[in-house]
Amino acid sequence: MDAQAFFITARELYARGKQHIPDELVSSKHLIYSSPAALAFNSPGAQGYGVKRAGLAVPGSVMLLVSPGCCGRNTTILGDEGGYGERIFYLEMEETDIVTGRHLAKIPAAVEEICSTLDKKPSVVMICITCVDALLGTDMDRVCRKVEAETGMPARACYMYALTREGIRPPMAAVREAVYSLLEPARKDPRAANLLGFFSPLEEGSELYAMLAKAGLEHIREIGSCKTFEDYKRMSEANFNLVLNQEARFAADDLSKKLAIPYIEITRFYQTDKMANQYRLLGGALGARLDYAAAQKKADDCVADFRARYGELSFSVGESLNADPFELSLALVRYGFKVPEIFGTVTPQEFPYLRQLAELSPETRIYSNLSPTMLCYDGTKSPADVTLGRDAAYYHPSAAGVSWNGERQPYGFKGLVSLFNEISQALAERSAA
Amino acid sequence: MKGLRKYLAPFTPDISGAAAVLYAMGGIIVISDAGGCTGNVCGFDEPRWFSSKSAIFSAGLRDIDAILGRDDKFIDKIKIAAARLDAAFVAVIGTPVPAVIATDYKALCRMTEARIGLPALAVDTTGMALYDEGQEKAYRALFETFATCRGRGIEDFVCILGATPLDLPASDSAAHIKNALERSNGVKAVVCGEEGSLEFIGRAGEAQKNIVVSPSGLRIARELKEKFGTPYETFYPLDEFDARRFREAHGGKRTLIVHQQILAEALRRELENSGGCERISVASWFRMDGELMREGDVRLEEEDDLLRFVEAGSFDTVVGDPLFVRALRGWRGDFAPLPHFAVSGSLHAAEREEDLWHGLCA
Repeated sequence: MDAQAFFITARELYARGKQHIPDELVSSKHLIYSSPAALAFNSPGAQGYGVKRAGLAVPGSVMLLVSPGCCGRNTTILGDEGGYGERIFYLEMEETDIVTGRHLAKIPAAVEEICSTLDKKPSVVMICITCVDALLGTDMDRVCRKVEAETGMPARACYMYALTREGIRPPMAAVREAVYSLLEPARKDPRAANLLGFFSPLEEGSELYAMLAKAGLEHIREIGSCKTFEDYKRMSEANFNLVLNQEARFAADDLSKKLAIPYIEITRFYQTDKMANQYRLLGGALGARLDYAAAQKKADDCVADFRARYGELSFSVGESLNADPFELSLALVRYGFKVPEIFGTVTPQEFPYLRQLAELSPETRIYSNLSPTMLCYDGTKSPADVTLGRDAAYYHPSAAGVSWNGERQPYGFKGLVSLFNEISQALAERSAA
Repeated sequence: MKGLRKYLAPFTPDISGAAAVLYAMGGIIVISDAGGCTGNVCGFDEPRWFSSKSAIFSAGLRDIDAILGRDDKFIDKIKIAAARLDAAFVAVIGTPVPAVIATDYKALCRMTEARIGLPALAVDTTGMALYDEGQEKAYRALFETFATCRGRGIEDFVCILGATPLDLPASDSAAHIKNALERSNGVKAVVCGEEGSLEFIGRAGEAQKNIVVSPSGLRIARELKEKFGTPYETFYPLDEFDARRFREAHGGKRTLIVHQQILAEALRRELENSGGCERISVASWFRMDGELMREGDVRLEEEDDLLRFVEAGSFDTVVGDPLFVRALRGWRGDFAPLPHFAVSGSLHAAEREEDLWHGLCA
């Protein structure tokens, strides 16, 4: 009996090539282990933004979840701790509904009843459906039109289709389309831009805000910063959208077609040279020179100071964090640290990072959080000084742990500085303990 | 409107109930879903998930698997896991997806046994029923598969049914119940579902008796009586000190107790013993066994039923999960918290019985 967690080294994985990723690292090829480290994968509502919470990003919105009871179970916690208790409602399906589809006919009346209990009329009712309706082929656009006709309330569909998680349009991409779909054509303001991709704003002090402002963009809007529905509607005025997360690409495409707002996509990096290069290209696309030199110097100094103070620390890097674990690991290795292990989802898109990791840190072990063999993972065999991500912290509870999955999104040089500040704090706390 | 919930999130579904029974029994438990159901079971309905490991996996179904009914691929995945893990059996738990595509569980089990060589059982849950129904089904599947012992035997143990974390009010309640029953019966008490209990399920026909502490264990207890002649009783042991505190805190009032029926009945008896109570009723959204119900008890169906029943009964006190307060808007009586994991999950869960009784009797 092989009682070890499966891993492959960066060198071996890169040598195999992107066409031959081992089955143990491909979630569709094995059962999925939903350990406490991997809960965010199987239950995105557990932390951060899943479909339900994301669907409520529109200010003043409420949600009606139309599904079997099991799909709404995690909302008990979300509702209570996240302050969403007054905004999420449920229409539970019965077995007969699977055959007759009669639950769909009840939705307009359910919306009517919900609105009658609210003090304030919602801006929109997001109607969330799940795997059952995916299989039944429910036409939710038609259902939403019927709701609008019968209740006078704007309604939009949210698809919590876990069955399509690795499909062309996964649930978290589809929900981004849904939340921007209420925007209507408006006169463009050349001084306005939107940041798309996250449901909460970038962290305060991000150089991106300052650089864009210096380039003449006075109104930088994000859905997470919109306090009212009126604020949200002003996102239609944007001269362009800046996409910070590729899951927002479909939404940006949609806005490009419907509202003629073009978009530019950029990536979150933790390697300062990559950030600088990207800002340079972004400036070129915008026709402005973005001034990032001071922010870059601060970030480089911060890393150098940290390295000088703590030496060659070893990091265990997980994927349950605000970063691409492979890019972040590569950054750490390039800054002179050790990364003995990464817990991540390997896709062909990671191979540019893997190519360099295979060269600079060939023995880095790569695990999949979702592999059933992770039941046998023994963290004592590979101790780490620092863990990044809640998953890595689960495997190494005694290391200095940085969750790095806060709501406000780190980005760019400021993001890197904040990360190292948090690592310093975690190390100090561990020393004091 | 039937099925509409405005104040209370859905309660623990049958899928989680089935998983709770099987959790510690040493099998590979595969939830036949896309991932979300497993995430809910492990992340919200299983308090043991963060302290002890269990081989619970998601089948990781994708739309094409469901459309084409690819059972062979499903079994391939189980086979790969079984080759790497030491498991006593394979259990497949149903969700809405197999309910929609009408999965043939019997065939799935036969194929699994033939290809993997381990006993296989299936629990045909749908995600549309409550946890106690899932527990009932899991008990039945377990005993049908493993209780092969015929007739009475040594009778050196009693079996406790209906004692998962979803049935009981505190994390250590099962241990308290077990200790109390060992003291009172003078033989080993085995919580059906605890680690090591598979052996005793195999010897079910030799049990001195079955003790049912929540309605989810009733159906299997009746079936075991029929099959093996094993007697059963419904009984929830309460510590005398705690029971006295409860009587002192809540005696003499018109009280409604909303919890699983057998625990609620035990608490009702304590209040009756305190004397002077005009009316004490039991209500639950979960299974209410007809034989245990008394006049004035009720099985709640819809969310609004609770407030209607409380107002109609003019109750002074409601004992129940703290989340129920949301569904009692406008009601001005006393509320005594008795957490039920199947309602509020970890939000109001009590780690220790001591904390539970402290809150309940404050």
